Amino acid sequence: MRLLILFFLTIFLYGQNLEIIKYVTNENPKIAVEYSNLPIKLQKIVKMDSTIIAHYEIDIKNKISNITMPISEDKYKGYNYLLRLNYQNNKLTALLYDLVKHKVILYKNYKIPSFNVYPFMIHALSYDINNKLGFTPVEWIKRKMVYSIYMAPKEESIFVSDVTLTYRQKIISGGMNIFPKWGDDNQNIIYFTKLEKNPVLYKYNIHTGKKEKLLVGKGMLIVSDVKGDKLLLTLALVDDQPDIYLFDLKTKSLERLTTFAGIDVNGQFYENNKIIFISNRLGYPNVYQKDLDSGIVQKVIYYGRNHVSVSAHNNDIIVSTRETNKAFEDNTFNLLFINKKTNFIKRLTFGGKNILPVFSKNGDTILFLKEYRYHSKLGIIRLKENKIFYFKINRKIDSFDF
Amino acid sequence: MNKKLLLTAGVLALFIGCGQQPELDVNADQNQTTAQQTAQTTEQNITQTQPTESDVTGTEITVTQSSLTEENVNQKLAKLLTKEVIHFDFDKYNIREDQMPIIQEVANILKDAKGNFTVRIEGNCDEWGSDEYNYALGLKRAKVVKQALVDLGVDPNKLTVISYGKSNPVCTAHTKECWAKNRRDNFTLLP
Repeated sequence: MRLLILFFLTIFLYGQNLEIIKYVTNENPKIAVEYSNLPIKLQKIVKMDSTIIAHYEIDIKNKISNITMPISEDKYKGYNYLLRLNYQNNKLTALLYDLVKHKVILYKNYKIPSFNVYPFMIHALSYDINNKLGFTPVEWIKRKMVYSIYMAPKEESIFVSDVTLTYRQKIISGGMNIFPKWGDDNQNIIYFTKLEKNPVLYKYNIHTGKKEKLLVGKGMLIVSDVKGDKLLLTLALVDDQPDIYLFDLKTKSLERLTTFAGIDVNGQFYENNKIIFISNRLGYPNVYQKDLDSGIVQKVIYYGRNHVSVSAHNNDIIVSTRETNKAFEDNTFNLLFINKKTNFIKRLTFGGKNILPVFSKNGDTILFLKEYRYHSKLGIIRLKENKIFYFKINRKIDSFDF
Repeated sequence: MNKKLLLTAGVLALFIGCGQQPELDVNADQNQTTAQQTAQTTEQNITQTQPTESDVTGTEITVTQSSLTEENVNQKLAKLLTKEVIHFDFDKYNIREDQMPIIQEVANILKDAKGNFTVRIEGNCDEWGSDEYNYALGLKRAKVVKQALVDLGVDPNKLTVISYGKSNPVCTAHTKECWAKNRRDNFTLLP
């Protein structure tokens, strides 16, 4: 009997402690979900979105007959919100109810032309839920990804997908189609390189299929960054030398920005009238910046060697750095986050091959690739939430933009 | 209400766009049609300019001999070049000493070859590197070999370079032997 009392007392105390811990750590709000019709595939994305947004938690609870039927709040003690969903005839109706303030805070229809684009519909819903709950907007979850995939030697195709890689569509195939980059905020246009007799830069409208030849290079031609009508290219025009060029789409003029005899690649627009790029001017690849007004080139990061790719957002820089130098064994590439103002450095990954980091537009999320021997994983890092998520794809992604 | 409608319309526009994304096959078909049209036009021209029976016979023999000779020369050159591969060390684009005799051999082949031709030096990398850096590394590998060939007396106007980064492996296993094989330059005779 004593043992039994002790057992219940332990559970009670543990429960009390757990509650206190939850309160102190300000746990994410909980959303219970009721649905009248919601295919499993949609339920999966609703859950997946809440996981990668990392601002709220979703529990798919009960099937109901109608989403407008009266709400029994008593059923959802411990939850902050109730989300009711109904999907029918390519239309999702969502109703979000605040269980604390006892009022509807979102009631909206989301329509799609065909079922296969359902991930984008759910991402739009997740974006709205996050906003209604008062968190920092997650614009990135609604964006489309564009990426090139290795198919066979001298053959790469370009695909469009959502950020969870659930929706995927091949848009360009046949030959070497590489380095796609979004050309506009609405994500209608991409720039990409096709390796023909020479590398050729194309502009391509993903909706109309209209393709326009912009530039023929020599040796290599890559769009590294896009800012309005200006493209930063890695191009070999003079003496087969890979340098960074500024290409003005309006005037079709080219300006050579670097002239180093080694390797200069991966140019990114940075701060006011500066570029940041990877160069091996000290004998190993590292991050440099060039002030386009003064022409001064400076090393940017003094921590680590062999920085093979870089992405910048205001004062924040993220680099992929090769931490081993083995010719005949697997090498390790990790991501480092550096704030230039405070010199704060944080290692974001621990082991494996982590490459091609890209900041989201608001800088609070990073997408990158984790490469395995025969496949890739798309990694999503939520910086403030201190979390990393991965989505597996059964092929190797070579480059991407989102 | 208006805001709600606008949002729905925006979302709808996005999805309509996605649903209508065309495959490149559409363009490929268009290109094929253009090529077919060109071929038909050429055929018509030949038919229109057909000479008398005796002239046709004489002309045909001469053209055939010349084409065959040129074809044989090119085939031979292409075959010789396919065998030549220059290998590099990990993350390097300087020419190794043991690779110099191969470059000398390529130089001899190109200097001996007759006629107008262009050879493309293709730089390739292993899988260890980010994509942009690997493309640049491949290009530098092609560039140093081109310079070495020019130094050995090959006409620079007969040489072009391109980089395939890590997208043209000859060996796809994840072994040290494969990685070493993929760090290389190939030579391709352009048509």
